[in-house]
Amino acid sequence: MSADFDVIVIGSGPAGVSAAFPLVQAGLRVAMLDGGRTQAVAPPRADFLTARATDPHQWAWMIGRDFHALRAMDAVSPKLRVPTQAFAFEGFQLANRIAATPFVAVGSLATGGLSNAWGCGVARFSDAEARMPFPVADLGPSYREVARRMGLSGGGGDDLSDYFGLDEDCDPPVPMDRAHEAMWRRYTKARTSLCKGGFRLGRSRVAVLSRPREDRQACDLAGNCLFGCSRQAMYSASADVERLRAFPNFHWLPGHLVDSIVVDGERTVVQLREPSGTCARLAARRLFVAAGTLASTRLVLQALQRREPVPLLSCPTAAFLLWLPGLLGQPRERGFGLGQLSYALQLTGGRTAFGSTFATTGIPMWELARHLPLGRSTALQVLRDLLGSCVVGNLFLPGELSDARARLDDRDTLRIEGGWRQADVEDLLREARRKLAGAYRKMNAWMLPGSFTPGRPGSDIHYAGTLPMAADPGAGQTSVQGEVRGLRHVHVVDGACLPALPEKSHTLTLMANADRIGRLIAPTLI
Amino acid sequence: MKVMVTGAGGYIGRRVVAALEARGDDVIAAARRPVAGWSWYPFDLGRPSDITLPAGTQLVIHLAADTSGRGMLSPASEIASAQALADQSKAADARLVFVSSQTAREDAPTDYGRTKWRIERIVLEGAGVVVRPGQVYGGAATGLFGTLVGLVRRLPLLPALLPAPSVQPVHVDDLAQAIVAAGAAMAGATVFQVGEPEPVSFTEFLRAIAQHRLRRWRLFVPVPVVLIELARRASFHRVDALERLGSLLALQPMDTRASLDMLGLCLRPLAEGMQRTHRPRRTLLAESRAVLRYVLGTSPRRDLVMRHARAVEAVREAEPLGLPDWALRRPAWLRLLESPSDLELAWRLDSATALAEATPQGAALFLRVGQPTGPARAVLGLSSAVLTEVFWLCVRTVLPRSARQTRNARTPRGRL
Repeated sequence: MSADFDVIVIGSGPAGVSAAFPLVQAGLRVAMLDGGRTQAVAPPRADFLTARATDPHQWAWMIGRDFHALRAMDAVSPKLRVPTQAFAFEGFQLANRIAATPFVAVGSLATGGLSNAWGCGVARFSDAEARMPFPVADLGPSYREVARRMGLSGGGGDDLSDYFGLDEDCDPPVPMDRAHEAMWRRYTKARTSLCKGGFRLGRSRVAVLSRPREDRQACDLAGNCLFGCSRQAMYSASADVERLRAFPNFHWLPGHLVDSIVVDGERTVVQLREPSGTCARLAARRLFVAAGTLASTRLVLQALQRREPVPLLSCPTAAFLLWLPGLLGQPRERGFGLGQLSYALQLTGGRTAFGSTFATTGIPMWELARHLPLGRSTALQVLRDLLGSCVVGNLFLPGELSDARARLDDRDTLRIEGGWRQADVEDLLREARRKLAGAYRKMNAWMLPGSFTPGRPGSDIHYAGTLPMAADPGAGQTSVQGEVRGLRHVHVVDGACLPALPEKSHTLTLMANADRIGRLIAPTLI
Repeated sequence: MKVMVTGAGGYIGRRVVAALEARGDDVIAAARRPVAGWSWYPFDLGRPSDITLPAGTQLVIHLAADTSGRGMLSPASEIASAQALADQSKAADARLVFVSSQTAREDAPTDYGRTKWRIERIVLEGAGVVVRPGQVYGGAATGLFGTLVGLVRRLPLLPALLPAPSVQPVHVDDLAQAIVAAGAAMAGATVFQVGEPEPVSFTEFLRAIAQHRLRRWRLFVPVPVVLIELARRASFHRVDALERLGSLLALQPMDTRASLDMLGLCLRPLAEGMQRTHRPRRTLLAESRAVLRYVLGTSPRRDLVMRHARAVEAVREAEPLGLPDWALRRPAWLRLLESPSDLELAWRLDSATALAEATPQGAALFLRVGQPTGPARAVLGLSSAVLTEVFWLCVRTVLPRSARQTRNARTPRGRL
């Protein structure tokens, strides 16, 4: 019995499209399955401040006509409350049979996956960070290829050039706002002493266009980043799905949910539910699993019928608010809503914390007001006079501090439990808070007391390492080509196969790795 | 659906418009004067020749009437207006619902009842529907209900007519639902009679106002009806109250069961309907207005209030919080009720902040978009916020805990 396709790719997120390009370009018949969800609520077309001042129906995209933001009040991130981005997250756990406690499990059934609503942070991993069973230099061509396709900005040479390792692939940065300009000026003055203290600052490297590219427009500082960019300046894998569709040998099957995968001799068979709800089977010579770390893990463990817990990497996080007294009373301005400046901070034990700072204008104020220990009316009064001179920062610690496990239960539900190595994380967060407050103080930015807040386990949405690559893979591990031990011709190409997760954003690396695996496999199928 | 409501600013009209808006209809308030927050269309019963139907109207609810009892309008003018509406509705293929009266009769003792009867004929001939309400009560103390509430409030002694006339009460919100349902009913040329199927004595009705609405005790003194009749005949001038009583005495009972069934309505009990906070929706709206005013520091727009109430209903499926009257009247004092343990109030405030922020009004207030800014203003604003917070903290420390709870936290009503 012949296969329907040369390769089936499960998932159309960053990993799925990255793996698909080399396969499709090699002329192979490739089918891509995804949950098929698309945006239901359009983001504003005007810039944020204009839309806020003039649009009487702004509540439709800020709160949602079904009150989505209020229903998701307890979600861990403002991103998960945005009505325009709801499609990127909805229905994931139920459809993929994933249950998590107290861990926050987020995934996507949308075309383009989680890249529909990400922070666009990109970085290269070093050999030490990646801990791949091959030299990271092997990823070099893939890093470049993926970077070229996405369009990165932020390069130009600064103290984080080595840390990100992307400057030659980056366009110039998106212009900074007043607050970040002020911090940057102070940093350049106090640079020597700050660097000596283990604090380095640089422009954020992001997958956002600072120059127009093909059918995407450059960032115009509209400030709608949280709600979605109508100019497509931010990279989304859904744009790559459109490009892949231009190839006649590429078949996109949206709205298909994969139930299980089976290895049947030289073929792999995918059992799935079609948009109509009927069950179907598709066969291919190879299967690329790129459903997102959590969903991919469930599919693979289920196919292996492996019920031992596997480790799950995730970065401990925190957020904080910085106040720049010199900007008190300045009017709000248009500006870029994602990371503008990033820092790398040395901590004890050779560990590093990484984070970025963002403008507060595009973040709904109610997100912050409810956390202030003041009466609501006073909290709003304080914020409306203070927030214009504040920036918000985030912090990521390395994923090796994870203490989370994923286990397939008797009903084939993936159960995720655990969080971090609590004592270590608490010590590191305390140290990071102290050092960050000191460093930013030298830049005339004051960390507001009580604003440093650790996130819940899993809220980073940087998941990895459940099916790690190894030179000599054991049970539940993958080969250098991402092939699962015990599941011939099934390749895991997303975050699940990364052996390590540093504090940096891992999206670019998992995309480069998927591209690398695609390039390795394509010639074997021609 | 595009719905024109005549008399939209009146006692019943306001509730009908609210019911239509809650259903998502596009409502045009047809009245002599604009009604704040609603789409307005000029409409004057006294000028029948000027009456036109807005383009695209699918349903006309005709509530406008001369209820003064003093014949401010000529019956001919009211009838001609109804005829104009009926003609135009027919031409536009719009459905016409006419809100009549239990007093409507060919031989009614008042012009009011006879006019209603004549208009009913016009509407029914045009295949429109007629709603005949019983004794309308509840909601804002306006209209005839307001007169009765005022009477009970002022008079320590009230007449208990003998023999007692009967009324068939219907709460104004139940009536609004009935009118909306009549507009959607498949039946044409039908008279819907809406009121409590079991009549209650007028004395009982006044007692319910005293007991459940005003929470006061009143002494009822028996007054033979014959004396009223004598007084009416003996007076040289028309006396409104006596005329109305005469109309009341002449009421014919209505068999309302079939109509209520057809409209799918179950009327609330009189004791419940008389409560000032009887109706979650109304109370919710009042609470939404208060929490929005608290977070905005200024009056919220009506559509924002409705949106917040809808959010509470949709997301929380929650009962009203039971905010004390003083907090509803002076929302700044809500600060006294905020506490980490009152999670429901916190949710109401969170949602009010979110919804208020997502308006141009909120953008101006929170982001200072289009507003003057500057370091001095910011320092002043921050200082004022700190002082305000200190003030409220001081007030909180001297107030007993029981005064700092919402009513659904089981605080005895008398202590608020």
